[in-house]
Amino acid sequence: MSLVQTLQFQAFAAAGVALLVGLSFALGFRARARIEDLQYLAPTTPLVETVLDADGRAGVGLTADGRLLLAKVMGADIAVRTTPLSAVSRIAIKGEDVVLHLADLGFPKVRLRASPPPLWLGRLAK
Amino acid sequence: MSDPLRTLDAPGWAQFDPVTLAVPLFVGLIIAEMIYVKATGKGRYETQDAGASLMMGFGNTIAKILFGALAVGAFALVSQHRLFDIPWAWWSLILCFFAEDLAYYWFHRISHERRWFWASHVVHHSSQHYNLTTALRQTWTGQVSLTFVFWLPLVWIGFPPLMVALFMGISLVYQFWIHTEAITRLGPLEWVLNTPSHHRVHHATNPRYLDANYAGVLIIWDRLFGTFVAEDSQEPPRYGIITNLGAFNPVRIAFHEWVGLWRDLHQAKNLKEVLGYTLGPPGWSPDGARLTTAQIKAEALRGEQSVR
Repeated sequence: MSLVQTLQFQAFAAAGVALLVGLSFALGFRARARIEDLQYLAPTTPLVETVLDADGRAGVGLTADGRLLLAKVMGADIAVRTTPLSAVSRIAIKGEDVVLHLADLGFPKVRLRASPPPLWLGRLAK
Repeated sequence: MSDPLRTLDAPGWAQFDPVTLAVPLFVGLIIAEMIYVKATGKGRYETQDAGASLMMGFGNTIAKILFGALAVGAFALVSQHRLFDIPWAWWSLILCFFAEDLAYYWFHRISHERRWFWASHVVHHSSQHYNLTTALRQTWTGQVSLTFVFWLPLVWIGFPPLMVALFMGISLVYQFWIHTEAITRLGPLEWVLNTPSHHRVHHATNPRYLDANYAGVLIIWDRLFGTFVAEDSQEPPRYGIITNLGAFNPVRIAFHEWVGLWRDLHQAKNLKEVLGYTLGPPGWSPDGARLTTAQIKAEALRGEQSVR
Protein backbone atom coordinates (compact mmCIF):
# COMPACT_ATOMS: atom_id res chain seq x y z
CA MET A 1 0.00 0.00 0.00
CA SER A 2 1.41 3.40 -0.96
CA LEU A 3 1.57 6.31 1.48
CA VAL A 4 -1.39 7.99 -0.23
CA GLN A 5 -3.45 4.80 -0.05
CA THR A 6 -2.49 4.38 3.61
CA LEU A 7 -3.59 7.91 4.42
CA GLN A 8 -6.83 7.41 2.49
CA PHE A 9 -7.49 4.22 4.44
CA GLN A 10 -6.82 5.95 7.76
CA ALA A 11 -9.10 8.84 6.83
CA PHE A 12 -11.83 6.38 5.87
CA ALA A 13 -11.36 4.47 9.15
CA ALA A 14 -11.48 7.70 11.18
CA ALA A 15 -14.67 8.71 9.41
CA GLY A 16 -16.11 5.28 10.18
CA VAL A 17 -15.30 5.70 13.89
CA ALA A 18 -16.97 9.12 13.96
CA LEU A 19 -20.02 7.80 12.12
CA LEU A 20 -20.47 4.84 14.46
CA VAL A 21 -19.98 6.86 17.65
CA GLY A 22 -22.47 9.44 16.35
CA LEU A 23 -24.98 6.75 15.45
CA SER A 24 -24.60 5.09 18.85
CA PHE A 25 -25.27 8.44 20.54
CA ALA A 26 -28.21 9.18 18.26
CA LEU A 27 -29.76 5.80 18.97
CA GLY A 28 -29.72 6.65 22.66
CA PHE A 29 -27.15 4.18 23.95
CA ARG A 30 -26.45 6.46 26.88
CA ALA A 31 -27.74 4.46 29.84
CA ARG A 32 -26.14 5.36 33.16
CA ALA A 33 -25.70 2.89 35.98
CA ARG A 34 -26.32 4.14 39.50
CA ILE A 35 -24.57 2.94 42.65
CA GLU A 36 -27.02 2.61 45.51
CA ASP A 37 -25.42 -0.06 47.64
CA LEU A 38 -21.71 -0.81 47.93
CA GLN A 39 -22.14 -4.04 49.87
CA TYR A 40 -24.18 -5.42 46.97
CA LEU A 41 -21.19 -4.89 44.68
CA ALA A 42 -18.83 -6.81 46.96
CA PRO A 43 -20.95 -9.26 48.95
CA THR A 44 -17.99 -11.17 50.38
CA THR A 45 -16.08 -8.08 51.54
CA PRO A 46 -17.26 -6.85 54.95
CA LEU A 47 -17.52 -3.06 54.97
CA VAL A 48 -17.32 -1.02 58.16
CA GLU A 49 -17.81 2.41 56.58
CA THR A 50 -19.29 3.55 53.26
CA VAL A 51 -19.97 6.77 51.43
CA LEU A 52 -21.90 7.15 48.19
CA ASP A 53 -21.91 9.95 45.66
CA ALA A 54 -25.06 12.04 45.86
CA ASP A 55 -25.87 11.18 42.25
CA GLY A 56 -24.88 7.51 42.55
CA ARG A 57 -21.85 7.93 40.29
CA ALA A 58 -19.31 6.51 42.74
CA GLY A 59 -18.83 5.02 46.16
CA VAL A 60 -16.05 4.33 48.63
CA GLY A 61 -16.05 1.78 51.41
CA LEU A 62 -13.62 0.90 54.18
CA THR A 63 -13.25 -2.83 54.69
CA ALA A 64 -12.89 -4.55 58.04
CA ASP A 65 -9.23 -5.28 57.30
CA GLY A 66 -8.41 -1.66 56.46
CA ARG A 67 -8.58 -1.72 52.68
CA LEU A 68 -10.67 0.50 50.45
CA LEU A 69 -13.48 -0.62 48.19
CA LEU A 70 -13.83 1.80 45.30
CA ALA A 71 -16.66 1.79 42.81
CA LYS A 72 -17.41 4.08 39.91
CA VAL A 73 -19.98 4.18 37.17
CA MET A 74 -18.60 3.39 33.73
CA GLY A 75 -21.43 4.21 31.39
CA ALA A 76 -24.05 1.52 31.83
CA ASP A 77 -21.73 -0.53 34.04
CA ILE A 78 -19.83 -0.26 37.29
CA ALA A 79 -16.12 -0.88 37.87
CA VAL A 80 -14.99 -1.96 41.32
CA ARG A 81 -11.57 -2.17 42.99
CA THR A 82 -10.56 -3.40 46.41
CA THR A 83 -7.20 -1.92 47.14
CA PRO A 84 -4.83 -1.29 50.05
CA LEU A 85 -4.66 2.28 51.32
CA SER A 86 -1.10 2.50 49.98
CA ALA A 87 -2.47 2.29 46.41
CA VAL A 88 -4.30 5.60 46.91
CA SER A 89 -1.81 8.31 46.12
CA ARG A 90 -3.95 11.25 47.29
CA ILE A 91 -7.35 12.04 48.74
CA ALA A 92 -8.49 15.59 48.05
CA ILE A 93 -11.52 16.97 49.94
CA LYS A 94 -12.87 20.37 49.04
CA GLY A 95 -16.25 21.20 50.44
CA GLU A 96 -18.61 18.45 49.31
CA ASP A 97 -16.27 17.20 46.60
CA VAL A 98 -13.98 14.26 47.23
CA VAL A 99 -11.42 12.93 44.76
CA LEU A 100 -9.34 9.83 45.37
CA HIS A 101 -6.34 9.54 43.08
CA LEU A 102 -4.92 6.07 42.45
CA ALA A 103 -1.60 4.94 41.03
CA ASP A 104 -3.46 2.37 38.89
CA LEU A 105 -3.44 3.60 35.29
CA GLY A 106 -6.59 1.60 34.56
CA PHE A 107 -8.50 3.03 37.51
CA PRO A 108 -7.05 6.50 37.92
CA LYS A 109 -9.51 8.32 40.15
CA VAL A 110 -12.83 8.19 41.96
CA ARG A 111 -14.76 11.42 42.25
CA LEU A 112 -17.79 11.84 44.45
CA ARG A 113 -19.96 14.49 46.11
CA ALA A 114 -21.09 13.94 49.66
CA SER A 115 -22.61 16.47 52.01
CA PRO A 116 -20.73 16.46 54.20
CA PRO A 117 -17.86 14.07 53.43
CA PRO A 118 -17.66 11.54 56.26
CA LEU A 119 -15.10 12.02 59.01
CA TRP A 120 -13.43 8.64 58.38
CA LEU A 121 -12.61 9.71 54.84
CA GLY A 122 -11.23 12.98 56.19
CA ARG A 123 -8.99 11.02 58.55
CA LEU A 124 -7.69 8.93 55.66
CA ALA A 125 -6.94 12.08 53.71
CA LYS A 126 -4.52 13.11 56.45
CA MET B 1 18.14 -13.99 -1.36
CA SER B 2 16.38 -11.33 -3.46
CA ASP B 3 12.81 -12.29 -2.51
CA PRO B 4 12.89 -13.24 1.18
CA LEU B 5 9.09 -12.93 1.55
CA ARG B 6 8.57 -15.06 -1.58
CA THR B 7 6.12 -12.59 -3.06
CA LEU B 8 7.23 -13.32 -6.64
CA ASP B 9 5.75 -16.82 -6.66
CA ALA B 10 2.49 -15.72 -4.99
CA PRO B 11 -0.56 -15.70 -7.25
CA GLY B 12 -2.11 -12.31 -7.99
CA TRP B 13 -5.36 -13.15 -6.21
CA ALA B 14 -3.51 -13.74 -2.96
CA GLN B 15 -1.91 -10.32 -2.82
CA PHE B 16 -4.46 -8.46 -0.76
CA ASP B 17 -5.08 -7.66 2.89
CA PRO B 18 -8.38 -9.23 4.02
CA VAL B 19 -8.65 -6.88 7.00
CA THR B 20 -8.37 -3.71 4.90
CA LEU B 21 -10.95 -5.01 2.47
CA ALA B 22 -13.29 -5.95 5.31
CA VAL B 23 -13.41 -2.51 6.96
CA PRO B 24 -16.54 -1.36 5.07
CA LEU B 25 -18.15 -4.68 6.02
CA PHE B 26 -17.24 -4.07 9.67
CA VAL B 27 -18.86 -0.63 9.59
CA GLY B 28 -21.99 -1.94 7.89
CA LEU B 29 -22.43 -4.85 10.29
CA ILE B 30 -21.93 -2.64 13.36
CA ILE B 31 -24.64 -0.28 12.08
CA ALA B 32 -26.93 -3.26 11.51
CA GLU B 33 -26.23 -4.63 15.00
CA MET B 34 -26.85 -1.25 16.65
CA ILE B 35 -30.22 -0.98 14.93
CA TYR B 36 -31.03 -4.58 15.85
CA VAL B 37 -30.17 -3.98 19.51
CA LYS B 38 -32.23 -0.80 19.55
CA ALA B 39 -35.20 -2.54 17.94
CA THR B 40 -35.17 -5.78 19.92
CA GLY B 41 -33.37 -4.99 23.16
CA LYS B 42 -31.23 -8.10 22.60
CA GLY B 43 -27.62 -7.19 23.27
CA ARG B 44 -26.12 -4.03 24.75
CA TYR B 45 -24.39 -0.90 23.48
CA GLU B 46 -23.05 2.12 25.34
CA THR B 47 -21.65 5.06 23.44
CA GLN B 48 -18.52 5.71 25.53
CA ASP B 49 -17.63 2.03 25.56
CA ALA B 50 -18.22 1.66 21.82
CA GLY B 51 -16.18 4.82 21.17
CA ALA B 52 -13.29 3.49 23.24
CA SER B 53 -13.39 0.15 21.41
CA LEU B 54 -13.43 1.84 18.00
CA MET B 55 -10.55 4.12 18.97
CA MET B 56 -8.54 1.08 20.04
CA GLY B 57 -9.20 -0.47 16.63
CA PHE B 58 -8.19 2.72 14.86
CA GLY B 59 -5.01 2.95 16.95
CA ASN B 60 -4.25 -0.68 16.17
CA THR B 61 -4.11 0.09 12.44
CA ILE B 62 -1.67 2.94 13.11
CA ALA B 63 0.48 0.71 15.35
CA LYS B 64 0.65 -1.83 12.54
CA ILE B 65 1.87 0.84 10.14
CA LEU B 66 4.50 2.00 12.63
CA PHE B 67 5.74 -1.38 13.84
CA GLY B 68 4.57 -3.91 11.26
CA ALA B 69 8.07 -3.99 9.82
CA LEU B 70 9.16 -6.01 12.87
CA ALA B 71 6.91 -8.91 11.88
CA VAL B 72 7.73 -8.58 8.18
CA GLY B 73 11.45 -8.58 8.97
CA ALA B 74 11.15 -11.64 11.21
CA PHE B 75 9.11 -13.51 8.58
CA ALA B 76 11.70 -12.64 5.90
CA LEU B 77 14.60 -13.70 8.10
CA VAL B 78 13.06 -17.03 9.12
CA SER B 79 11.91 -17.75 5.57
CA GLN B 80 15.53 -17.67 4.43
CA HIS B 81 16.21 -20.65 6.71
CA ARG B 82 13.06 -22.62 5.85
CA LEU B 83 13.08 -26.39 5.84
CA PHE B 84 10.97 -26.91 2.72
CA ASP B 85 9.81 -24.94 -0.30
CA ILE B 86 6.06 -25.31 0.08
CA PRO B 87 4.45 -23.99 -3.11
CA TRP B 88 1.16 -22.14 -3.60
CA ALA B 89 -1.20 -25.04 -4.33
CA TRP B 90 -4.65 -26.19 -3.23
CA TRP B 91 -3.22 -28.70 -0.79
CA SER B 92 -0.80 -26.24 0.75
CA LEU B 93 -3.62 -23.71 1.21
CA ILE B 94 -5.62 -26.32 3.13
CA LEU B 95 -2.61 -27.28 5.22
CA CYS B 96 -1.77 -23.66 5.91
CA PHE B 97 -5.34 -22.89 7.01
CA PHE B 98 -5.18 -25.61 9.68
CA ALA B 99 -1.60 -24.79 10.68
CA GLU B 100 -2.39 -21.08 11.03
CA ASP B 101 -5.49 -21.82 13.09
CA LEU B 102 -3.45 -24.07 15.40
CA ALA B 103 -0.78 -21.36 15.73
CA TYR B 104 -3.55 -18.88 16.57
CA TYR B 105 -4.90 -21.20 19.28
CA TRP B 106 -1.52 -21.32 21.01
CA PHE B 107 -0.87 -17.60 20.54
CA HIS B 108 -4.25 -16.88 22.10
CA ARG B 109 -3.91 -19.38 24.93
CA ILE B 110 -0.45 -18.14 25.90
CA SER B 111 -1.71 -14.55 25.63
CA HIS B 112 -4.01 -15.44 28.53
CA GLU B 113 -1.54 -17.55 30.46
CA ARG B 114 1.60 -15.38 30.38
CA ARG B 115 1.54 -11.80 31.57
CA TRP B 116 3.97 -10.48 28.94
CA PHE B 117 1.49 -11.33 26.20
CA TRP B 118 -1.56 -10.66 28.39
CA ALA B 119 -0.37 -7.05 28.78
CA SER B 120 -1.25 -6.60 25.10
CA HIS B 121 -4.22 -8.92 24.88
CA VAL B 122 -6.02 -7.59 27.97
CA VAL B 123 -7.08 -4.63 25.82
CA HIS B 124 -9.39 -6.87 23.81
CA HIS B 125 -11.11 -8.11 26.98
CA SER B 126 -11.36 -4.77 28.75
CA SER B 127 -14.92 -3.92 27.70
CA GLN B 128 -17.84 -4.93 29.91
CA HIS B 129 -19.90 -5.09 26.74
CA TYR B 130 -19.94 -7.77 24.08
CA ASN B 131 -20.88 -6.48 20.67
CA LEU B 132 -19.24 -6.03 17.28
CA THR B 133 -17.29 -2.97 18.43
CA THR B 134 -15.63 -5.20 21.05
CA ALA B 135 -14.11 -7.18 18.18
CA LEU B 136 -12.28 -4.02 17.11
CA ARG B 137 -10.96 -3.26 20.62
CA GLN B 138 -7.44 -4.35 19.72
CA THR B 139 -4.00 -3.87 21.19
CA TRP B 140 -1.54 -1.18 20.18
CA THR B 141 1.46 -3.11 21.47
CA GLY B 142 1.12 -6.51 19.79
CA GLN B 143 3.92 -5.96 17.28
CA VAL B 144 6.44 -4.51 19.74
CA SER B 145 5.74 -7.28 22.26
CA LEU B 146 6.59 -9.81 19.53
CA THR B 147 3.28 -11.67 19.39
CA PHE B 148 4.07 -12.65 15.80
CA VAL B 149 6.61 -15.24 17.03
CA PHE B 150 3.78 -17.79 17.28
CA TRP B 151 3.50 -17.87 13.48
CA LEU B 152 7.23 -18.07 12.76
CA PRO B 153 7.29 -21.91 12.91
CA LEU B 154 4.95 -21.99 9.90
CA VAL B 155 7.35 -19.85 7.89
CA TRP B 156 10.27 -21.94 9.12
CA ILE B 157 8.57 -25.14 7.95
CA GLY B 158 8.29 -23.55 4.52
CA PHE B 159 4.85 -21.99 4.07
CA PRO B 160 5.18 -18.80 2.02
CA PRO B 161 5.07 -15.81 4.41
CA LEU B 162 2.36 -14.19 2.32
CA MET B 163 0.21 -17.31 2.61
CA VAL B 164 0.60 -17.29 6.39
CA ALA B 165 -0.23 -13.57 6.51
CA LEU B 166 -3.26 -14.17 4.29
CA PHE B 167 -4.71 -16.75 6.66
CA MET B 168 -3.87 -14.58 9.69
CA GLY B 169 -5.98 -11.85 8.08
CA ILE B 170 -8.81 -14.21 7.15
CA SER B 171 -8.88 -15.52 10.75
CA LEU B 172 -9.11 -11.97 12.11
CA VAL B 173 -11.96 -11.12 9.73
CA TYR B 174 -13.75 -14.36 10.65
CA GLN B 175 -13.52 -13.55 14.35
CA PHE B 176 -15.23 -10.20 13.90
CA TRP B 177 -18.79 -11.49 13.52
CA ILE B 178 -18.65 -13.83 16.53
CA HIS B 179 -18.52 -10.85 18.92
CA THR B 180 -22.27 -10.55 19.24
CA GLU B 181 -25.13 -11.42 21.55
CA ALA B 182 -27.56 -11.22 18.65
CA ILE B 183 -26.86 -14.80 17.55
CA THR B 184 -27.65 -17.56 20.05
CA ARG B 185 -26.57 -21.00 18.74
CA LEU B 186 -25.76 -22.36 15.29
CA GLY B 187 -26.72 -26.03 15.57
CA PRO B 188 -24.17 -28.59 14.35
CA LEU B 189 -21.73 -25.84 13.38
CA GLU B 190 -21.06 -25.42 17.10
CA TRP B 191 -19.10 -28.69 16.98
CA VAL B 192 -16.53 -27.47 14.51
CA LEU B 193 -16.54 -23.69 14.31
CA ASN B 194 -15.80 -20.98 16.81
CA THR B 195 -19.21 -19.34 17.16
CA PRO B 196 -20.72 -16.37 18.99
CA SER B 197 -21.80 -18.75 21.77
CA HIS B 198 -18.31 -20.22 22.24
CA HIS B 199 -16.68 -16.82 22.13
CA ARG B 200 -19.11 -15.30 24.63
CA VAL B 201 -17.78 -17.89 27.07
CA HIS B 202 -14.24 -16.81 26.23
CA HIS B 203 -15.02 -13.17 27.08
CA ALA B 204 -16.81 -14.00 30.33
CA THR B 205 -15.43 -13.52 33.84
CA ASN B 206 -17.74 -16.05 35.52
CA PRO B 207 -15.26 -18.41 37.25
CA ARG B 208 -16.48 -21.49 35.38
CA TYR B 209 -15.97 -19.72 32.04
CA LEU B 210 -12.42 -18.49 32.73
CA ASP B 211 -9.52 -19.70 30.56
CA ALA B 212 -11.69 -21.35 27.93
CA ASN B 213 -12.36 -21.35 24.18
CA TYR B 214 -9.18 -19.89 22.72
CA ALA B 215 -10.08 -20.89 19.16
CA GLY B 216 -9.70 -18.68 16.12
CA VAL B 217 -11.84 -20.25 13.40
CA LEU B 218 -12.10 -23.91 14.49
CA ILE B 219 -13.23 -24.86 18.00
CA ILE B 220 -11.70 -28.32 17.49
CA TRP B 221 -8.43 -27.18 19.10
CA ASP B 222 -10.18 -26.41 22.39
CA ARG B 223 -11.94 -29.74 22.30
CA LEU B 224 -8.61 -31.43 21.56
CA PHE B 225 -6.53 -29.65 24.22
CA GLY B 226 -9.18 -29.69 26.96
CA THR B 227 -10.01 -25.97 27.11
CA PHE B 228 -13.53 -26.15 25.69
CA VAL B 229 -16.42 -24.94 27.85
CA ALA B 230 -19.97 -24.76 26.48
CA GLU B 231 -22.19 -21.77 27.18
CA ASP B 232 -24.79 -22.55 29.82
CA SER B 233 -28.08 -20.77 29.24
CA GLN B 234 -28.63 -20.83 33.02
CA GLU B 235 -25.49 -18.81 33.59
CA PRO B 236 -25.29 -15.71 31.38
CA PRO B 237 -21.74 -14.45 30.79
CA ARG B 238 -20.51 -11.39 32.69
CA TYR B 239 -18.11 -9.69 30.31
CA GLY B 240 -14.87 -7.87 30.99
CA ILE B 241 -11.82 -8.64 33.11
CA ILE B 242 -11.48 -9.67 36.75
CA THR B 243 -10.61 -6.10 37.76
CA ASN B 244 -12.57 -4.00 35.30
CA LEU B 245 -11.15 -0.73 34.05
CA GLY B 246 -12.31 2.58 35.47
CA ALA B 247 -11.38 4.54 32.35
CA PHE B 248 -12.51 4.96 28.75
CA ASN B 249 -9.32 6.79 27.80
CA PRO B 250 -7.73 4.76 24.94
CA VAL B 251 -4.18 5.49 26.14
CA ARG B 252 -5.01 4.14 29.60
CA ILE B 253 -6.69 1.09 28.04
CA ALA B 254 -3.65 0.43 25.83
CA PHE B 255 -0.96 0.76 28.47
CA HIS B 256 -2.45 0.10 31.92
CA GLU B 257 -1.20 -3.48 32.19
CA TRP B 258 2.25 -2.57 30.85
CA VAL B 259 2.56 0.13 33.52
CA GLY B 260 1.37 -2.35 36.15
CA LEU B 261 3.98 -4.85 34.97
CA TRP B 262 6.69 -2.19 35.00
CA ARG B 263 5.82 -1.21 38.58
CA ASP B 264 5.90 -4.84 39.69
CA LEU B 265 9.27 -5.37 38.01
CA HIS B 266 10.58 -2.25 39.72
CA GLN B 267 9.81 -3.90 43.08
CA ALA B 268 11.10 -7.36 42.14
CA LYS B 269 13.83 -8.55 44.51
CA ASN B 270 15.46 -11.22 42.37
CA LEU B 271 15.47 -12.88 38.96
CA LYS B 272 12.84 -15.40 40.05
CA GLU B 273 10.42 -12.58 40.78
CA VAL B 274 11.26 -10.83 37.50
CA LEU B 275 10.49 -14.04 35.61
CA GLY B 276 7.38 -14.68 37.69
CA TYR B 277 5.93 -11.25 37.00
CA THR B 278 6.83 -11.34 33.30
CA LEU B 279 6.29 -14.93 32.26
CA GLY B 280 4.05 -16.15 35.07
CA PRO B 281 0.28 -16.09 34.74
CA PRO B 282 -1.53 -12.75 35.16
CA GLY B 283 -2.20 -12.31 38.87
CA TRP B 284 1.02 -14.01 39.93
CA SER B 285 2.80 -12.41 42.88
CA PRO B 286 5.72 -13.64 45.03
CA ASP B 287 3.65 -13.70 48.23
CA GLY B 288 0.50 -15.05 46.60
CA ALA B 289 -1.42 -11.94 47.65
CA ARG B 290 -3.11 -11.73 44.25
CA LEU B 291 -5.06 -14.45 42.53
CA THR B 292 -4.49 -16.02 39.13
CA THR B 293 -7.50 -17.11 37.08
CA ALA B 294 -6.69 -20.75 37.87
CA GLN B 295 -6.87 -19.95 41.60
CA ILE B 296 -10.13 -18.00 41.15
CA LYS B 297 -11.58 -20.93 39.27
CA ALA B 298 -10.42 -23.42 41.92
CA GLU B 299 -11.83 -21.28 44.77
CA ALA B 300 -15.18 -20.99 43.01
CA LEU B 301 -15.25 -24.76 42.49
CA ARG B 302 -14.49 -25.36 46.19
CA GLY B 303 -17.31 -22.94 47.05
CA GLU B 304 -19.74 -24.82 44.82
CA GLN B 305 -18.74 -28.16 46.35
CA SER B 306 -19.14 -26.88 49.91
CA VAL B 307 -22.64 -25.62 49.05
CA ARG B 308 -23.54 -29.13 47.84
